[in-house]
Amino acid sequence: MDVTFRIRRLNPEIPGKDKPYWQEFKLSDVEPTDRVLEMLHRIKWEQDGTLAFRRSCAHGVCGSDAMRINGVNRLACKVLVKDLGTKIQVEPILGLPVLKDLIVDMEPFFAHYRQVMPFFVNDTPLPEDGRERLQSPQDRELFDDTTKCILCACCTTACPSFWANGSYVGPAAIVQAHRFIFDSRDQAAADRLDILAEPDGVWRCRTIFNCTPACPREIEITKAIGEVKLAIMRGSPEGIIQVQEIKHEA
Amino acid sequence: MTSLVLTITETLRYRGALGQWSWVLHRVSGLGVVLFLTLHVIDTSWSVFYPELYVKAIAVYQTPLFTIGEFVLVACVIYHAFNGLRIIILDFRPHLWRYQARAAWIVLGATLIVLIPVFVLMFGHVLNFYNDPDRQILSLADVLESQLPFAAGIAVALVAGILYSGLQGVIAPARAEPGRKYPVGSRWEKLWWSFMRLSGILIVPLVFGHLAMMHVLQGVFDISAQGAAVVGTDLINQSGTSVEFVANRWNLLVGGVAVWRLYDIALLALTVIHGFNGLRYVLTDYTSGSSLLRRGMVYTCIIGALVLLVIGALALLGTIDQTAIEMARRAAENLHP
Amino acid sequence: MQTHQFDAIIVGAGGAGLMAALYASKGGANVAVVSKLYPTRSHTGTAQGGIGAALGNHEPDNPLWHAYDTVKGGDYLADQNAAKVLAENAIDAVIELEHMGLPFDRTPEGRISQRRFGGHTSNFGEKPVRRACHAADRTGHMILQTLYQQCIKNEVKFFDEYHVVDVLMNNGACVGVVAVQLGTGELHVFHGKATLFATGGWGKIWQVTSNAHSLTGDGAAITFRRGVPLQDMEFFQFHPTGIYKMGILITEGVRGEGGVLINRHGERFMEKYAPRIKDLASRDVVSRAIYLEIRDGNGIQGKDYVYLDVRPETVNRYLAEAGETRRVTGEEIEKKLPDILDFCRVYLGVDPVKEPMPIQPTAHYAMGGIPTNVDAEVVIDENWTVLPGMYAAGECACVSCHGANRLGTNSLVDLVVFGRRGGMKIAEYVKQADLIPLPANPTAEIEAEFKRIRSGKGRSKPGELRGIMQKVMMDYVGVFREGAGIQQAIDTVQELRERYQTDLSLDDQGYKFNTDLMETWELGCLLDLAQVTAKSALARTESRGAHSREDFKARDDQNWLVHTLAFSKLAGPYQPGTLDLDLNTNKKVDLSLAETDPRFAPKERVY
Repeated sequence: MDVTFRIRRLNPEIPGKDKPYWQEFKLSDVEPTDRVLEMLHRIKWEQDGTLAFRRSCAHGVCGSDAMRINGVNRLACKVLVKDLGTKIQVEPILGLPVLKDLIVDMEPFFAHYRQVMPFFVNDTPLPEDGRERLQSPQDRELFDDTTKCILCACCTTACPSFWANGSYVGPAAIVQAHRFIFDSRDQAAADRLDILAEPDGVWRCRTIFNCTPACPREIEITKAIGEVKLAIMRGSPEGIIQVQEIKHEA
Repeated sequence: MTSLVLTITETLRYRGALGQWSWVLHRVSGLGVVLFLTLHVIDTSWSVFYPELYVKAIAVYQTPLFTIGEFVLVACVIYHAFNGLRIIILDFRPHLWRYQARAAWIVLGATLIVLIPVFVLMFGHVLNFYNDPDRQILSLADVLESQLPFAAGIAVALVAGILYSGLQGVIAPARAEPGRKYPVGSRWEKLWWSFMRLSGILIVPLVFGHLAMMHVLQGVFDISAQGAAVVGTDLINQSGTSVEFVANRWNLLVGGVAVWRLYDIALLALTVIHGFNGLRYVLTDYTSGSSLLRRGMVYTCIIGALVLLVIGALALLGTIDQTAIEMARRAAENLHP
Repeated sequence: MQTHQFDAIIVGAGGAGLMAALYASKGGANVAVVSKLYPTRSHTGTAQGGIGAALGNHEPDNPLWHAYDTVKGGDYLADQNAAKVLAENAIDAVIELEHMGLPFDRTPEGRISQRRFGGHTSNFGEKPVRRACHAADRTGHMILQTLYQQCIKNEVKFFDEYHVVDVLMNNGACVGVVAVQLGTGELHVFHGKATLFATGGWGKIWQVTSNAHSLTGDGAAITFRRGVPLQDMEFFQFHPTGIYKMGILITEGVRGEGGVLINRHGERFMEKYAPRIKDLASRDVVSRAIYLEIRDGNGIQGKDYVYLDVRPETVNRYLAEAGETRRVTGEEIEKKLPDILDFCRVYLGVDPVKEPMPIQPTAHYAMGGIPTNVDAEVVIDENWTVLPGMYAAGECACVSCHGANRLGTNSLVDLVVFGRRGGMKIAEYVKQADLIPLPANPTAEIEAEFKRIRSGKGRSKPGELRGIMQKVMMDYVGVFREGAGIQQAIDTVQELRERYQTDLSLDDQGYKFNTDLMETWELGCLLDLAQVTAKSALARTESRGAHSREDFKARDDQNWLVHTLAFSKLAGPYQPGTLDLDLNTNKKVDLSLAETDPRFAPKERVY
């Protein structure tokens, strides 16, 4: 089938193209199961090599190719032509400065990530037997969902609060903080809760719910943010998440 | 300002789910209610301080422009209340997020279901009024002119907020604290977050009761109707002035307690603080690019809330005597010579 | 041009690079990580199954058993000292990862949970053992995230989206690298005492691959161009079941649940190739069988794929045929293979419970690469001579612990074990080594090469050249090889190299995020590596592990229990002309374990 791509472009080095503009490309022999990323590659390799976008793994795990596709944030490698129709509009994710075509400056995003102490902290002595710290399967389950995050920025750049206010840490950073706050082995939950209690922390979340459907990993993001808010309110992550019984492999 | 424009255009362009539109409606309805609240607290205080002005204010409310506004206001309040409850439930039970979209539909549906009979009743009052051959209506020019002081007041609050912010920037600029790797949490936002939810729950019955009395069971047209019963009391508005209407309500004692004054004090405090804190959320969201503006908006909200709280409290503690009613009666006569 | 000076420069921010960066910086070195991707985009993150370590959390296990499985899986080409180090260090490395916060799944007792994996056995092949430590089905993702997090905690300096394009040598030592800052197009020189390459594999040589677009073998190519040999390049693992055209992996677990491979005639063709264990034969055997079916025109609709059928009715029919009483239901498959079902539903619109999945072998993992010793130091000849200052770890390196065929889970083990050892060695080295000055005009050559590519006004689009290379490599240097075919691939790649050198056509002449330029430069790396792979494959006249020659079907331990070392004969990195190689086969496989333990002696590989 034939598909028309309408792509939001910008080239900072070419006068006249250094402001965002739309460009159309026509592709024929498109299979319904082709991914948008493949189509972007075809445009780049067959029609216009100047088209710039990030990509790597091409199957929804590395998080390079977050874009706004037909109005919503997706990974270009995880959305098929058949789910979009024959007119496909692609533009950069919003809220981060556009550097060239579909490439945005990810530095502010990673700066927010680094802000929430996104690393494991436990300064107690290691187990004497030289083995792993123990953790029950139930405790492990509490933060399972938020370990899936690939930092693609689909959620953060789908958030109207973030569009309005780039100093808001954003859903992705809160998801990353959640992964540690609710890890029974970690000891810095109180510090992270303090950081997120700042005016630009969790409180800028207005429960708009744009982040949750934008997540290519299907993380329950707004729920995670809610749990962090409650943890701040109660001063502790204890008892906020209830897990169902864990089944064991035989 | 650019971030406001950007948010508006991109919210329209982003194909977000229903949650996004619930948020838009929540903000817009909240802003609408706060704006009305500002006018309403100030002009109601005039029943104590400037009876003539109060008479005019009520007359303004009885014009077509404000009648339309009244319908919008009621819709805003009801939607904001229901959606606020949805947010509160999801905030305290995050695992229910899967039902958020369904809840958003329920909020819309419930708003409509409540609005239909409410609008029918309200529309009855409107018909009643316009069918009355003796009705007298201010001209649109009059109405707009009477709003100028409010516009000026809001502008003054904005300018004052920004000026104060600028002054603070000069006198006590924000100091970067060296050696502090991570920011330390502010307790205030946490308290505000809880306050918004708690006050929201308290406001719902208060405001619904207030709306029912003033806009549904009776209309704004009945406030200045001679010989009409004064809602919430067993008295009759003998002079047919809005000032007497207020006086009758505020002077009612039940077991020695001025119940309507207490009711209105609670309503005033909760709605003003809730409303202006909400306004602060909205204004600071879109002024984060400039610390001057961002701080200025906070001060504007503080100024606004303080002014309303002080004026409202003074009025609620004041007395309306027979002279005031007489002044009102004469003012009403002069209004429609 | 900007110059940065560090004790140690780590090129690549996947598992091996981050592990090395972490341990080097913990050891006191001033470290810079230079990566063409944001670290969390690295391909380590796509590994699913688990990381093997003989923790024995469920049942008795022993690192020696792990070493045995590794050696045997590698068809006895693995250096046995390296396999031993790999298996022994795996335990410490995994425990340390846990201490860094890696969220492993847990046993009811709270220990790291382990699962079975192909080829991992207890007591020297006696029975399958639970050795693969896992975090759901995203173990690689969690390793990558955890290491990046720890690097942030340790304030490691990152240069993200700096694409390393040349290595700097002086006085016979490595003194740093040249990188392009992608956002500006500017060249940066990174000058240091030690440089570690952890740039991953080069699966993009082939048409169908599970590898990321960014896996273009940069590190292997640039060191090779500067005179460092490449070892065992003929060994590249093809995973039998990749999603058709996309190459995305479908785990062996599908066949474990009873799934079967079917050709266009509805035939379960594995019965022909492995009559005893059929579809559950080892990876190389199954890949070969599928490839043969496709070549014989038995692919579905005559195309280059077959079906992997896990529909309950199919599975149950064959179960009944085999006289087994076990039967499966759709719900069971749904429960056991949720992610695979999700992949198929998203990418193929195929519901594997109702329809068969189109699959084909997919280029997966490079066993060969930059030769190193067990401390990740690059060695440049058969005498294990260390090249001062240069290190390599992970897939781009060849220790060689995987030999001719890597065992499942051992790629992650390789990353953490040798990344860690490399990091420790670097910390030690930079304390006593002097900083050797940079060569004169360090960026002159690479600048000239970029100028040449950027101003290409010929007729050959890089995408077209890449497509031809991928096709010819898939057809002739894939699962199944044969002298004449390999020669054809060599000739074609040579022709492509010529076109690349003289006839390029580039659309983007800019500097900022010129992805056109960088992709084209990467294509140059791929062409070089394709040529080395094909020529190494032509030279090895035997079949061993992932390298199977139709014209030399037997393993030849008499002549070929050696590693291939390929040296470039070109005078400089960007010399035009034919890429002739000096193929050295004097480096003998280390058989140190076999010397004391006859169970490690090379013998026929039977599972």
